[in-house]
Amino acid sequence: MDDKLLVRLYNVGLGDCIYLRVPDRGGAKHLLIDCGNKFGAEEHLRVALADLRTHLPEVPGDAGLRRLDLLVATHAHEDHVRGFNLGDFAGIRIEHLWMSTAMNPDHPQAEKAKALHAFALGTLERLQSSSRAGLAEWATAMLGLSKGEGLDALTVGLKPVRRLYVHAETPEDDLKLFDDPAIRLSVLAPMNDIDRFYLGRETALAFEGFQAMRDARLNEAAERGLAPQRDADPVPPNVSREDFDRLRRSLNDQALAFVFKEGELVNNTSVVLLLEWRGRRLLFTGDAEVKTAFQGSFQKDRGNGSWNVMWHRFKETSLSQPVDFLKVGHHGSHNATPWTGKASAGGAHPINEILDRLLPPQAAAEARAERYAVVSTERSGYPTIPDPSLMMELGSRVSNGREYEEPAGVHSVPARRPQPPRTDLETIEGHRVPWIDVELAEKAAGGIP
Amino acid sequence: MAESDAQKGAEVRRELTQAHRKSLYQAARFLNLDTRCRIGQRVPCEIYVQDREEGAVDKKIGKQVVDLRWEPLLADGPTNARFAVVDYDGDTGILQPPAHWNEEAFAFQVADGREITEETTPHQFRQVNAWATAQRVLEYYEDPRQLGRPIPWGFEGNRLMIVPQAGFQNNAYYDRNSKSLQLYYFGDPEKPRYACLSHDIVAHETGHAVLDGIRPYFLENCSWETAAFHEFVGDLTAILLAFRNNDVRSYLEEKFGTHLELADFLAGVAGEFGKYVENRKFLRSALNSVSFADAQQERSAHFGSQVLSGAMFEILVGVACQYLSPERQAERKKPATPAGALWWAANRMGGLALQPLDLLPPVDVRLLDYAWAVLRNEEINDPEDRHGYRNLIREVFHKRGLCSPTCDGKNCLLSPAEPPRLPIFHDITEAARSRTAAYHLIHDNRDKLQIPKERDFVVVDLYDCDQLNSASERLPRRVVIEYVWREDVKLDGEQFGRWQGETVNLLCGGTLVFDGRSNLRWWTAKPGGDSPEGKARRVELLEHLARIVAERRLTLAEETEGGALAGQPAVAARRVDGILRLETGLHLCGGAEEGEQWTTSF
Repeated sequence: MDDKLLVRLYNVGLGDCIYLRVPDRGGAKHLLIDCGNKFGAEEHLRVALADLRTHLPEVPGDAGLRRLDLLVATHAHEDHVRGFNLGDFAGIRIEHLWMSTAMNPDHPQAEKAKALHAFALGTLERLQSSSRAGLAEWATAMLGLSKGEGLDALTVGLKPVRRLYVHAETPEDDLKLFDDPAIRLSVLAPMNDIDRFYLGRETALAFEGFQAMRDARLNEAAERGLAPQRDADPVPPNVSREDFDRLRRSLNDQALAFVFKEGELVNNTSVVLLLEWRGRRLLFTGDAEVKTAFQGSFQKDRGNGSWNVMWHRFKETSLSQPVDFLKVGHHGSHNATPWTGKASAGGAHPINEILDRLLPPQAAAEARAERYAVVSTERSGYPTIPDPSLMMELGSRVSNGREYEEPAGVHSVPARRPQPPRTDLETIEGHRVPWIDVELAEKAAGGIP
Repeated sequence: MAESDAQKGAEVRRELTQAHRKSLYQAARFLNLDTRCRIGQRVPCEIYVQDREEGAVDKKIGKQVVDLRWEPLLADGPTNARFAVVDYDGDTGILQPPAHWNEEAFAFQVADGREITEETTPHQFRQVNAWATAQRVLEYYEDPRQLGRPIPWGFEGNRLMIVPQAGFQNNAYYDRNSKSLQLYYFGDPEKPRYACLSHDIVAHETGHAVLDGIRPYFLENCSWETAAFHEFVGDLTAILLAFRNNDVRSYLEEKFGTHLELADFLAGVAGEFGKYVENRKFLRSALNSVSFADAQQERSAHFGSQVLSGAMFEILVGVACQYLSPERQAERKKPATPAGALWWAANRMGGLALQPLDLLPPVDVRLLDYAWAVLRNEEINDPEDRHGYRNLIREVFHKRGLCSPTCDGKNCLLSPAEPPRLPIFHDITEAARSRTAAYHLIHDNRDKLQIPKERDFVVVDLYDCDQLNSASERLPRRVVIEYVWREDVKLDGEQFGRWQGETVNLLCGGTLVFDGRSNLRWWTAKPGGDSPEGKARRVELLEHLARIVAERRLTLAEETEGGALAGQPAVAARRVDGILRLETGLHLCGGAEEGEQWTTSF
C-alpha cells in the first residue's frame, strides 16, 4: 500500500483538513493542507490530528517527536486554520510551513487588502450589537471566521524549521520538497500582488471613497451636533417606531458590501497546489473563487477571481491537461469551481471551459476514465454550500461518484444522482465516517486519458 | 403664473386665515389651478424639474418654483397624507433634522426659521426636492387627464416613506416591504451626487410605487416582460413629468422645434447617474431602436423596458409632428406653432400612454398587453380617430416587433379583440357599489369569462374613473373591475435546482371595463385551468423559473433579510402558506453584473 499516494480528507464539519502521504524516492513524504472548521466541534479536529499523528514517522533520536514534511495554511479563514490553535501540534516537527503570501504581515502588495480587512473586522464588531433580525448573530459568526482563530499559532506558536509565504511566482527551487525530481508540488495561486489581482483598483477606489464619504458625513454631522442614531433614541415624529425600524432594517448597509468583498478577497488569496506525482495530477484549491461575470477571462486592475487569474496564466501549461484528483473548492460552494449552469449568448458559458479542461465531461459511468473529486463540506445554513447543481455536474464527471440519501430540503441533491464523495454524507452503518480516503497508484507514462 | 400674478397670489394668501384655507380646501377640486394657487391651496417649492445634468446644458432649466397641493395636515419632514420624508442614512446612522413646515410663512423652512436653499441648508433642500418631485408624480397620475382617481399604494398603508440620503451606493429602490423609496448618494466624497436631486430617478422610483399601487400583482415575477413593464413605467413617468413642464417644452422648441426625435435631452433618463456611474450620456434613453426580438434575447428588465419607452417616445414625436401637418394646419384659422404642438403632445400623452394602464390585466402583464390597451383605449375615448393616431400607434408597435413587421393586417396581433357579450346582465351602478357586488357580476358570467367553475376568485380592485381628454372634455364614465385567482404549479425537475419540489403560483385573472351604461367595453384575461392558454401559460412560467434558477437570480427573501446575504436580490422568494411567491426587486439599474448578488464568502 505504501507505494500508493493517499489523500485523506478528514471529516471536520465545515472546514478543510487534508492529509497526503506521497511516496518518494527516500520514503514517503507527509503533508497536511489546512486544519480548521467552522460551526464544528474541536473534537472533530482533535480526532483528525490524532489520526494524523499515527501516520507521521518518528524523528530519529527524538523519541515521541513526529515529522511532518509540509504544513500548508491556504488562507486566513477560521475553517482552514482554527485547528492550529489547539496545541495538538506540540509533538510534531514541521519541516516546512507554507502560508499564503497574503498572510505575511509585512507584505507590501497587500496594504489595501489589509486596510479592508481591518475595516471588515470593525464593521462586524459594530454589527454585533445590531437590532436587525439575525444580523448580530451573523456578524458574530463572521467575525470569528475573519479573525481566523488559529492564525496566532501559525505566525508565532508553531516553530517550523522553514517558514515560507508562497505565491505563484515563488521560485521553483524554494518549493523543492521531494527527493525524486519528477515529483513536483507547484503553487498556482495566489499571485504575489494581492491588491492588484484580487482587490482591483476599482474596489480599492470604491472602498477609499466610501470611507472618505462616511468620515466626511460623520464629521459634518458632528459639527452640527448630530450623532449616529441608537436603537433607544426617539424615532422621527412623522413615522411609527415599527415603520422606522422596518425601514432601517431594509436599508442597504454599504459597509456590509465591503465585508462580503473582504471575505471574497481572502478566499482568493488561497494557496492552490498542483501535485504531479508519477503520472498523476492532483489539484488542491483551497477556497479560490471564480468570477463568472468576467466570462472566464482575466481583467487587468479589476478584482479577479483566483480561477480567472490562474486560467489566464496557466491554461497552456499547468492547467492544460485534465487532473486525476480535484479537491472541490470552498466546500462545494457555487462560487469556487469554474462551472456554471448559466447559459451565455451563443451556448455554454465561457467559464465552463476551465472545468471541461480539468474534468472533461464523461460518457456513461461504466466507461469513465479514472478521475476523482472529493468535497469537505457540511450543510450549515448557507444556501449554496454545497451547491446541488454543481454536485450533480461534478458527479457526472468523476469515476468515484456516490449516491446519497440526502435529507429532503431545498438544497438537496436528488437521490440516485451521483455526487463526489462528501464528508457530511459518507457513512458506515449509519455513522459519519471520520475521513474519506482516495488512493492513487502510479500511472504508466503517457497514460493520462 | 407671471411674477405679478405670483405677487398677487402671495398677497391674497397673506390675508387668508387657516380657517379660510381649510374651508377653501373642501372646494378646491372644483377650482382651476390658477385659482387654487391664488387662494393658498398650492404650496410653492423650489426644486429641480429636469435631471440636473440635462438641466445644466445651458443653465436654462434647473431649479424652478413649482406648486403642490396644500393639505390641512401638511407637516415637518415634509410629511403629508401620502408621503413622509425620513432622512436617515443607513451607512452613518445619522438622522437629519427635517424640513419644517411654517404654515404662517406658507413655506418649508429650517427649524430656526431660515429659508431653505441648496447652498445653505442642503439636507433640507434634498428632503423637499425628493418629496415635491414624488408628490408631483402622484398629482400627475391622479389628474383627470391621466388616471382621474386617487392612487393607492401597493402595501398595507397609505404613506410612502422617502429616504433622500439612504446611504452610499449607486442605486435607488422602491421597496414595498419597508414602504419606502430609498435614494442613495454616490461619487466623489468631495462632491457627492444625490439620487434625491435627480428628477428622473425620483420620478422613476415613484412611478414604480404608483404602478405597484394600481397593479400590485405585477411585482410577482412570472416573466421578464412583467419586470420590464415596471421599468418602462418608471422611465415613462420621468419623461412625461419633465415634458409637462412649460420651461422644458420652451427649451425643446427653441432647440429642436418639433423634431423631438433629436431630443435626447428629453428622451434620456437619469443623465447625471449615467454620466458619473456608467460613463454614458444617460442611464437609458427612449431614443432607441430596441425591438421585442432584441429584448427576448436579453430577457433583462432594464433592457427590455426600452421596447415600450422607445415606442411611446416615437408616438409622442408623431403626435407633435402630426399637429403641425399641412392637413391639420389647413383646418385652423390661425396656424399652430411648434410650442402649441408640444403642448398638445404633452397633454395628449396622458390619454395615450397612461389612461391605458387601467385596461391592463391584473397579473402577468406582457408588452403586447400594453399595446392592446393603448389601442383599445383610443378606440373607446376617440372612436372617430380623426387624426389617425391609431395607425401611427399600430405602425410604431409593428416596427418594434410586437407583431410581425410584414403583417398585412390579417390576424394582426395588434388588433384588440372586441369584448364578449355577457349573458347575465348586471347594472354597473349596482356592481360598482362594492367588491362583493362586482363579484356577483363576474361569477354569473364566469363561463363566458373562462373562469373554471371550481376556482374561488377574488375581486382585487374596483374603481370608478373621472377622466378628461386632452381638450379637457369629460370622458364617459369608466368602471374597472379586476379579479384574480391562483393555481398551484409544482416545480418538478432538476432544472429547478434547490427549488425542486417547491410549489409556486400561476396567477390568473382578468380586467373588465364598463361604461356608465353597463356596456362592457374591454375585457382582457390571463386564463388558467385546463384551457389551452392556461396550459401554455403554465409551461411558460416553468421555463421562466428554470431560467432564473440557472442564472442564480432567485434568492429566499429571508436569506437577504437575516444578514447571510446583503443587497437587493433580483428575485426574492417568500413563503406564504408553504407556497413560494416570487417578487421582483425594483432597482434603478442592474449594473454590469445584473442579477448577481453579494454572497457570503468564508
